[in-house]
Amino acid sequence: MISRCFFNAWMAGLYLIFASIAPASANTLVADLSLEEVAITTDFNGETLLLFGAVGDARDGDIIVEFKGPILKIASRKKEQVSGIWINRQTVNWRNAPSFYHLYSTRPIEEILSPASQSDLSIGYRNLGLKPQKLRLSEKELAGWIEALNRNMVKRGLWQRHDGGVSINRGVLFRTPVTLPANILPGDYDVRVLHIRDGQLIAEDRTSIQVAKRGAGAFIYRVAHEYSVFYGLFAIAFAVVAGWVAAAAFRKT
Amino acid sequence: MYIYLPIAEVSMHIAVVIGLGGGIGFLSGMFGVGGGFLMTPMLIFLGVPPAVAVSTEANQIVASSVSGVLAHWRRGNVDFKMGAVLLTGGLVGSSLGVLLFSILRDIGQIDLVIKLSYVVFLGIIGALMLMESVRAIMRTRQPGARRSKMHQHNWMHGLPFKMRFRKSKLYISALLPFFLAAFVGVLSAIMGVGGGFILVPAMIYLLGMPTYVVIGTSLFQIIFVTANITLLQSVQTQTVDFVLAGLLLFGAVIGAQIGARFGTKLRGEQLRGLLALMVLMVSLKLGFDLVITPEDVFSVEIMK
Repeated sequence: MISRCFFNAWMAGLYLIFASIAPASANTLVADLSLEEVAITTDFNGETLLLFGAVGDARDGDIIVEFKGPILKIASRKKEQVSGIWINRQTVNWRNAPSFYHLYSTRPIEEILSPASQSDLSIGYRNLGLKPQKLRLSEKELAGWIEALNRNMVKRGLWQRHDGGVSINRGVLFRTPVTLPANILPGDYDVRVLHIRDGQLIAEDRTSIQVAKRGAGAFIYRVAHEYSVFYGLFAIAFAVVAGWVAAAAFRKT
Repeated sequence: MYIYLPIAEVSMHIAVVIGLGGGIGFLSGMFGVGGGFLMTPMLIFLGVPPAVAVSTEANQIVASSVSGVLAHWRRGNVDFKMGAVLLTGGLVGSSLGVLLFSILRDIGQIDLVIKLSYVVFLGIIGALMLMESVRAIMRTRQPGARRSKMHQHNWMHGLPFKMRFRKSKLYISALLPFFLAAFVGVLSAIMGVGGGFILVPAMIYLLGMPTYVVIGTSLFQIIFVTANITLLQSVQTQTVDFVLAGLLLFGAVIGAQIGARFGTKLRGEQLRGLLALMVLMVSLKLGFDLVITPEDVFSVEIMK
């Protein structure tokens, strides 16, 4: 809550600064985020950031914000019924699948860009260049797998579209809240902001933000990965002592 | 208050985690079982990745078995020689199980194998327990009915490597407990359980051990098997979340004490009948999940 008030005040300040130094050229775009880093700490339960910026003249144009997480090993599986039991029968290991993909725009993207321009600008999950690693699939099958991937990622809040999420103020300033769910994975997140007019790209800006584990949780994670034998032995010792203490504590009562 | 579990990489409400530990601890205290067979499916159901659920549960069972074995040890109800043979088999089996687990995970079949193991083994044990307790309840109503002989001589007594187990009053082939424990060890590593629910009846009916040494001895060997799983999973897959294990344990310790007091109010065969019903319900629920048409035949897994 405190941070939100702070952002609002900050936004008001930035607003004045941007308004006074509004870009002279009409074809510029600057964007920034309200945080320099998202820290996954022990009490992390998702985070809302603010993406904001200014364009030369946004009155007759639209803004699209693409927030893209690290490409990780992502596998899709398809179940089939084998003698009454549903079993994973097919697997697609994806190439180029981002672990996080949020789109924010002033209007539904279909109204802003034609399918061809969406593809040229690689906007939308259908234009990410998603390909299976080994498997050969027909165009139609691939499309089915991509739709299913989208469906599952949307369900987890990792892929999302927020049509109308971006608001424009006084024709130059734009802003959108970016919601990062609790299940977000650490890594480098790339942000691309596009200014579109009449289906044409007018200006573009890129920025990035790191999502990183911090604090005690980060320490535990690092020990578990870098000193795994020690970690395992420690976990066992911890359990033995805890069990012993529990038995002793309840023996007296 | 939410807590971000560092290894599971999910955020859970701290009351949910401790409450889960407490609830399952209550049942395990009441019925005198480990509770792994309830905890692991619940963790998976709550969104903890299966590998983390199984490894973390192994870590928690180390603690609950240590705390359980102490009382039996004090009363001298642990057959250490039998325990040593069992744990040798258990170590071999659980190491194989950890290996099998990672292979199954890579080929995307671990969920299926976990569920199938639960359906088959909980189903069998639950059905046997239910029949046994129904028979026991009937017997108490019909005085004069005679108990059948505890164990008979058969092919198992012809096996080599015979050993004398003084405390268990047995002279049997060491291969028998060795392979039994190895088999249970594999299941332990895959299902995220201590395996007491198979080991205890098998020690009584298959090996013919006297009931009073069975629980202590099985707890004794479960400590080593689950410690082995904890270590191997820590090294191989880094899936042991000791923060999660600690929170579950905290709830379970308290729950088990309350449960144990509750359990004394019920009669033995009624208690076993209820436990059997609970085991059967878990088995049926998981079996049902495998059979009904899934909401979406596609699923997605983010691997690291």
